[in-house]
Amino acid sequence: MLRPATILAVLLTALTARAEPARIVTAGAAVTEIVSGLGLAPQIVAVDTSSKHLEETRDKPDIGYVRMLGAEGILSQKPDLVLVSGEAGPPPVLEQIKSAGVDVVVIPDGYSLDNIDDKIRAIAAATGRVEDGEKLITRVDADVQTLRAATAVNEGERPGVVFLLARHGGNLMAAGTETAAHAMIEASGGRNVCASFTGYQPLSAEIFATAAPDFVIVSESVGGDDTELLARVPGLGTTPDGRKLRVIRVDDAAFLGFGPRAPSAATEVALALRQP
Amino acid sequence: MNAAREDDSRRRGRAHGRLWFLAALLPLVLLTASAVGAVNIGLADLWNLVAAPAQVPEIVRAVFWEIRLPRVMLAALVGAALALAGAGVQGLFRNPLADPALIGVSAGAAVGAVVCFFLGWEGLLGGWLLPLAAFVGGWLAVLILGIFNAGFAAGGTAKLILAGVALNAMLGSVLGFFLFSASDDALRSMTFWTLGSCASAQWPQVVVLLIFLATGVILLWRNARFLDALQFGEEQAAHLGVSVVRVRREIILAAALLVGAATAFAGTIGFIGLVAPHMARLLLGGLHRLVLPGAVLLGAMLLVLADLGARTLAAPAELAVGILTAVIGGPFFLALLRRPSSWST
Repeated sequence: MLRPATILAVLLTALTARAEPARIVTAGAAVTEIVSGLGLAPQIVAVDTSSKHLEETRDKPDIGYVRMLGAEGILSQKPDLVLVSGEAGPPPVLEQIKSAGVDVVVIPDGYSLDNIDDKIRAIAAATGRVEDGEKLITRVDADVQTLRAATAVNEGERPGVVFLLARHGGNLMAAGTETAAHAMIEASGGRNVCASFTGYQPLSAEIFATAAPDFVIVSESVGGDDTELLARVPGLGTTPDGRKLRVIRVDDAAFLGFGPRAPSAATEVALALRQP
Repeated sequence: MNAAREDDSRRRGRAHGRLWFLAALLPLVLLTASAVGAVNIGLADLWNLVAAPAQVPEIVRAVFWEIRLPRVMLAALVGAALALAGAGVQGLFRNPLADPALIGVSAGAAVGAVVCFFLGWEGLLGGWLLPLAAFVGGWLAVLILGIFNAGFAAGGTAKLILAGVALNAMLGSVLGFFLFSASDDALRSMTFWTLGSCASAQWPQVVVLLIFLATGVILLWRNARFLDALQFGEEQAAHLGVSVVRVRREIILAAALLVGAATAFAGTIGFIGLVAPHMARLLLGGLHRLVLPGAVLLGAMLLVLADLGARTLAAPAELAVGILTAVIGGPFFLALLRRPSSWST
């Protein structure tokens, strides 16, 4: 079946296939990860703040927060290609960069494991690395197969899961639908107990009034051990059948970025969800 | 008697001299800000950009004409608009702590922008929906204030200030609600917006803002003498033949236009609307025919310099300009306050 995104990616491939760029600026962790995955890490001259935690790009100059970029700062890195995720902006800044004669390619965000191939294809086309792109896609597809195998067992008895995001200041937010976390919970064979609202909501006991979770997923970067964490969650601590709530810690960038590492991050969670 | 008049005219002459000095300083500041940036443009290239464009690398030409110059211009216009609105509002309220924010326009604009971020609509209409939402939000706030203040005709300015405080508090709650409910990404965008930035500057925005600034200048200039009369109190001004309600409406209209448009394109930028008019008064005395142009020049220079810092200090990343306005303007203002001067005129 041909999905619009696939058609777009193919069109993009045809339109943008070109010589390999020597200097690339990337914004968005998934985009940076894919560019590195294509073996182009040495060509990356600057990255946004969210890409700074990746091993390969830790020491590159920082062009700031992906939604608040500055045109001149990026151009001062003399890029011949600027690759950004769909959330990059503000839009006028991207226009400014284009008007300076530098190619700007926006890779649409998508909260689906199927989109990853499209992202890789688009980036491979934009960087002239179509072959490496296909190799990376093969690897990602294999990871998706592993994930499918891991989640097949869970069918029928999907455990309840809540994803908690720690915000500056320590407030915990629960992920509802239309979030990357929701998509990943579903992909891992879990059931998001917070499906009654969209986006992130401040955590309260009422959220769990109708459906209590069996598992809590949080970022590795959240401090404190599991007991401390659960103490901060109002009205939680035990599962519906009276067992202790279990905590799964994930690497933010891999779990929420929908980059090449997403399928294996989902597999890890799927395996953790299967543990009795 | 004669000596006093002579002294007065000498002081006025000196004030005029200072105003001309500020007017001469502005082009220098603009030129400096245009020459400095993350992309290096040497002095020779700067000259060649105008004299012999063919000799300048294409990338430098693009950066200068499409990115840096519109940005410097936008910063100048935003600073001028905020300072001018501040001068008008302070004159109207006869209150040195009055700020254009008092009439609710900044908070309203912030709500408009935050709603836009909340819905994830900030990129729509090629990025024009965000300034539009901010501008409409600002105007709605002023409109609400006007409705509850009988079209700005009821009571004195004291009531208007109180109504403004109440409105700001309510808008603050609305803002808080959206900040609280926002996703992490939207929240960060909102926070950045409320710290201000001139990074999105493009020529069309510069032109739009220029039109608003010109309208504001005309509205305030024709009320400059009435603002002087208002300094003796509203009753006395009325005795002198000033239509206080009409002046009030025009000043508020001007401030809403100026701050609404400036905030729409650059986010909320504090300090300049409050302090640039005071700087003008400290340097030039209390006459509004001097204070208004003085505030325009000082506001423009302050924000151009703050924005210069915003785009160079953390390059290749951006700093929020709101962080820098007070850092740059504050010490200068304190130094001015130390000087003995004809402060109360």
